[in-house]
Amino acid sequence: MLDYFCMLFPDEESRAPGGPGQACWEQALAEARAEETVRHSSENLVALAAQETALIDIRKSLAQWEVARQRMARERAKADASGTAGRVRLAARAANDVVIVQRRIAATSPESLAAGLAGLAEDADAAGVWADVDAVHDFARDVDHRLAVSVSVLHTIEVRAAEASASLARLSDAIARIVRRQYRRVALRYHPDRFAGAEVDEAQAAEAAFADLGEAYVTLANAALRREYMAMCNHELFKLAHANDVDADTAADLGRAQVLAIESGAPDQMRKVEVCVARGERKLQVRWSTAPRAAMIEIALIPPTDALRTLHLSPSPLGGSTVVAVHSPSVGLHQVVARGVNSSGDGPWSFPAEFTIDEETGELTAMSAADLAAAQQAAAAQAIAEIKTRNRARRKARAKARAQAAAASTAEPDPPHLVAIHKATRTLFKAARKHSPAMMVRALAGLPCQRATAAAVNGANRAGDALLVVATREGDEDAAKWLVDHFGSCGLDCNAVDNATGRTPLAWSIVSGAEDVTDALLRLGRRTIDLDLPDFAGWTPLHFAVRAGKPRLVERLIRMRAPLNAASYECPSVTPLHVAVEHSDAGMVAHALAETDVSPLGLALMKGNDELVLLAELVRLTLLSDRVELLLQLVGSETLNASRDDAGNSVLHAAVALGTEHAQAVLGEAVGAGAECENAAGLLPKDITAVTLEDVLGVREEEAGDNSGDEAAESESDSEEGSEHVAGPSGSKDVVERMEDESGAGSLDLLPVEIIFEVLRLLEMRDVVALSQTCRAMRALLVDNILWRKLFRRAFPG
Amino acid sequence: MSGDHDMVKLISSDGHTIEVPEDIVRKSQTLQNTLDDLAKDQLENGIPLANVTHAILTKVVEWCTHHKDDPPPPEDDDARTRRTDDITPWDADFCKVEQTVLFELILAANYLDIKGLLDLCCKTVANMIKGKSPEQIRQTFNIKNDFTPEEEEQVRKENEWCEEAGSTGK
Repeated sequence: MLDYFCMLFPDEESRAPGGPGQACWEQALAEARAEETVRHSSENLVALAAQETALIDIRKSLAQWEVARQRMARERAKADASGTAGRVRLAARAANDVVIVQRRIAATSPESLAAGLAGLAEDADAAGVWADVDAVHDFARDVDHRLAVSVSVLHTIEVRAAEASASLARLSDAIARIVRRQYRRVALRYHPDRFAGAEVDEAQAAEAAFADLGEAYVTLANAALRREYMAMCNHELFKLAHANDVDADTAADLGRAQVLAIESGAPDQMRKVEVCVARGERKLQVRWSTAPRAAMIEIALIPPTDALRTLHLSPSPLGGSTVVAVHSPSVGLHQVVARGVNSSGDGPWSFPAEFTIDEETGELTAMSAADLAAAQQAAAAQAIAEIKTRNRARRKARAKARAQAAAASTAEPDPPHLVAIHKATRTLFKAARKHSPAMMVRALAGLPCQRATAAAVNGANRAGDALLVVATREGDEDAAKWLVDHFGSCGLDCNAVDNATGRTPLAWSIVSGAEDVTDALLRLGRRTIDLDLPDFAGWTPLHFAVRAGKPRLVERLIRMRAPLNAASYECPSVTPLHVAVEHSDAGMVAHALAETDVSPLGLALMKGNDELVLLAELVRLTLLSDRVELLLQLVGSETLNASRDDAGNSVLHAAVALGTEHAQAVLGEAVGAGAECENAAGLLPKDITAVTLEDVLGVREEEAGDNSGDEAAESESDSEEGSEHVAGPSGSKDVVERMEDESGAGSLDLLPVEIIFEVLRLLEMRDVVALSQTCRAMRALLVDNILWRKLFRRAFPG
Repeated sequence: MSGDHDMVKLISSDGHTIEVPEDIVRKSQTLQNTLDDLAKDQLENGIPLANVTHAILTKVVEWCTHHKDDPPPPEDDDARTRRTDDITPWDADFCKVEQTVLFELILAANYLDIKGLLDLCCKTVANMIKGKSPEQIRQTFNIKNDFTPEEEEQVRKENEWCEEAGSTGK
């Protein structure tokens, strides 16, 4: 919710879902949408009306042409019969009249009819008169058809516009009413008269709130201002645009100023941040989007100035932007960095965006996009972590190019052209639904140029998804393959992403198992197809390929240099290799292992360098999934045997320690140095037998039952019985052994409840909640456990 | 060796015997009870501690030796502060051990009922948790995230709620 709404609805409850503030905000959003529809419709209406007039003119001219041609035919017949010079002259003049009409038709025709006209002109006789009358009649029918379509589209748009404007009027009235009522209500609360005798602080706070309220009211009660505010969707930008010291042109410039991309390294903190540099003003506009966890954004300048700014994110789900004034005493090159901040800590600083401050004029100039990209490349080479950030930069650059292309195409002053493209796109979608390639060919046949065809092919449906995306998503192999085969190398955007999931056609084709389409897409080559592009959750095509269990495809993707270490945003440690182990067979893991040569495994898999933990995890997963051959491959790998933990345990040790059923098989098959390496205690892998481990597991389960209960009683009886039974029931040995087995995993919840409670009472509420969100066991212990609730109430009364 | 203080033999779970002065052994409430309850001759063979390994027992004795002159901690629960930043440098150094060792220490301290050591270890663990996000806690303690997507969603909502509560509190 934007600030003015918060000012107008100062109570938290009213802004909660279902409250009047929330309702008002939603109505304002709906109003903004309705206004957008009305504006679009009116633009379209103007274009369509112009087109309709042109078509009607052509229709009239064609009728004139018919009359003139018949007259010409008569004159020519007479001239042929008499053969006199006068008659021949008259016939030539009649032919000339026809040609004049033809020229008028050609001049008024929109580009979409150009092909038909050219066909007619080819059949013209010596005098330039269209000779093929049937072709002209066809042309006339074509014009009629277009006219009919245009009229029906016009009607649809009119109806929609009327609906939108009706709802716009209704919403405007409703909002104005709510705002007025709410203003009166809140104004009473903060009115200065009420605080005449109050404390100074209180009075000042009320006065400020009253001033804010007035401002909010002026903006929100005025329909025009409110719509502008909602369209900007940004409080500070709006205030800047309406501030007295900034003229309107500068504020307008902010929107058009060059966009610099800076992206943060921490996906869970902040997805992306853009910085715009306003021309002629020492002001930076910072825009961010989808910062799901960041509560604030910090922006700093390099060289450092006073401008380390903390910006509270606006609660708009779409992100937001703000303007930062730059008060830098120095001139020359500057850098801006940003990071997301929330209660659990600070995100890493983003890749710096650069701008210069001119020595004489003091103007800000942003770095060109090309320079920025180059700088990014250089920086990316320094740190492997930047692989992911670079991916995002690419996606943005492409989106920008697409946006520019779209802007360029909309800038063309040829509305009928656009309508034709739109129509072709609609027909294409329809054809794809009907699985009719012939209809698709027909849909594109009427388009005048290749660019228009490409635009039609890349056109989006109402949800904003391109046809290729929809076709691959719905598993429509024929349509997708047809598109890729015909347009893959001439204008089809093969990396268009699904608006809902962010998946590319390649990802969708892999997911939906359309092998032909995947093949066709990959055949377009690495330059056309982006293999690095992750979806919104961070999964890359390689993830999907591995998950789908297609070793050949995986191999092909790896050969095409698909990123092996890309980690998902949601589970930062899940790379394709993880997916491979979880979902698939030895071949893929072998591929992935063989190709991840930068640093064996560990590199991207874990943030720390504790490779054995990872390997143990791999081994554990393989054992769980009964894939002995994969385990053997893992154990046989030199790299894996080389890595040891602090106690000198190799993977094989871990494997045997973890394994219950297959351990012996593994030992039997293990070859080379793997079987001979001792751990720190001098134990060979075979010494750690599965049997002992099973015993331990069994014992622990038995003891777990009476673990927490009658400790006091038992220790008393112990001491009475004598020194042989000092052993208490807390089972520390088992716990410790299990901790070692799993490298400490889940060890916290194995501690006796009363000890966890001891720890809890030292923590803040926030930490307790965070702890309860780590895993099921913790959650069960902290949230669902009745005993714990009792303890909790004692620890945090109230 | 014995002098004023009698030596008590403690036998760890892996069979090692360690001789400790009686006043240090008495830091442990459990062992104190044992000492009081048993006759001298019954102690000749040493006290077996089936739940404490030699390495951990050595650590525990090290701590008890260093803190042998400390006043006994107040019994009353409420009197103990919730502070976690009052760890002395020696203690902090003492707790700089692997997590598994730390947990073993906790279990040993709990079993032997040494309040001071238990408090110290709990504070150390609390400090490892404080101010961290669930993901960071998972990494610290190597906890596997085993929530289903639905549960994850619910947890995420709670997380938002928690952060909101945190940020409005600021």
